[in-house]
Amino acid sequence: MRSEADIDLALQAHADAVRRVCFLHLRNRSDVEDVFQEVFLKYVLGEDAFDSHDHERAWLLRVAINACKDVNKSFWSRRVSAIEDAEYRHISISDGSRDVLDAVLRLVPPKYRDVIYLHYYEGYKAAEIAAILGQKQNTIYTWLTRARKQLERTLGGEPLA
Amino acid sequence: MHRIQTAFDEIRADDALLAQTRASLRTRRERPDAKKFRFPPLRRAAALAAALAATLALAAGLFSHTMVFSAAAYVSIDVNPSVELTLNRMNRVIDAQPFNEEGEMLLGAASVKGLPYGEAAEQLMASADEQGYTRDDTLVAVTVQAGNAERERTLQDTLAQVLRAAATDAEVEVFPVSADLREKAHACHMSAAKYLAIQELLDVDETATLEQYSDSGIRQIRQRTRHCQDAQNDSVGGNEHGKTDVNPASESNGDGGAHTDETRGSMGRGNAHGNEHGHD
Repeated sequence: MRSEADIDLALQAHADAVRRVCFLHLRNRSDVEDVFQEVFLKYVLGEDAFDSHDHERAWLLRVAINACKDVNKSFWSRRVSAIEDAEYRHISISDGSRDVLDAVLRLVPPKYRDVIYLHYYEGYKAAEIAAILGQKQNTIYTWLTRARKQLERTLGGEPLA
Repeated sequence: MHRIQTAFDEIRADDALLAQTRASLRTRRERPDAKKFRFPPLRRAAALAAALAATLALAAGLFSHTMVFSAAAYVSIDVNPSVELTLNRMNRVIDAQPFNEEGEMLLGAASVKGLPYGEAAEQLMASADEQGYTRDDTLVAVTVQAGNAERERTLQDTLAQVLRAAATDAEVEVFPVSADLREKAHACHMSAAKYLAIQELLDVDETATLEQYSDSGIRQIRQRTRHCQDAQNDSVGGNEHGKTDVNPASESNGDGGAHTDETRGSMGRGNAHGNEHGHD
């Protein structure tokens, strides 16, 4: 079992990344708390040695994305979490960024949101993204192309320039 | 830096979230074998404590001891494991009974007492899935009995939705049954769902007996029933089987279950069982 010091280091290094993934899939503060708990508990209980910071982050993001999927799959929890927290209550965001994020959430299908984040923000390559999402590499290439087109259509101009 | 980067940069894990995560991990590290991450014990314990407190606080006037602890509804679930849940007036599971070995193992693996019925059903399905009971052609047969048509309808609809979401490849059917049928089922040591399926078979197959099918799975029983119905329909001339359009909206009399889209010969039998349901 990893130590409290390990947890602190992992939180310091990767909590923001996990939070971003949660932002893409969850609309509810208590769901975010649940996913955080699950991700870091698995981290605590796991014994995998990580080659690098990126490798560790990739592992955490994979667990986080799957945990978010489980939350969204659970009909019962969707039924009871009817009260959604105002999306940005716990995050202070500038207006410009809010527009971009709103566009990503509302107009980009969930599947593409992950590839957008993993590639255009985290900088993972298709092979790495394929491992994180459990997909074939070719699929990721396709998704990336479509996601980029979707983004350009949604946000106008060149949001990735 | 492009706009996507700028935007995501502003999303951070706030201090409260980090503190809450650390605190919950501290507690959980002491009990690493606790299974259900999705509904962490701290939150669930808090929720149950709140519910209990609310119940006790109102005990004086409105709620009584019996509402919390006495049986108000029964839900039987057959995948292959066969179990029956007893619900109290607040739709919480207060008891869970297995009807076969697989059911025993399922209840051993998933602790559902105290959970709201939807969550309990979900966890049982997840466990059944983990233990390999759900496959492509799995049938999940559910019955509800609550002595009150409105409650039964709510239970029916919710369970159908919850279970279909939990087991996307499976067929899910939910029927209401009468207290009488349930008692007869128990007398034969089987769940109401199975008893109902066998009754439908006995209606079309004169040679069949209950004992013959008491160890069969519900899917098998239904296949036999359909087979017999087809044979009957064919002999009457023209196959009726393909014509029935199963549409949940047409089952507004409440006698039908929340069915899947597959045409099912037993659909028509819902009405023939009017005398079984006894809602009046």
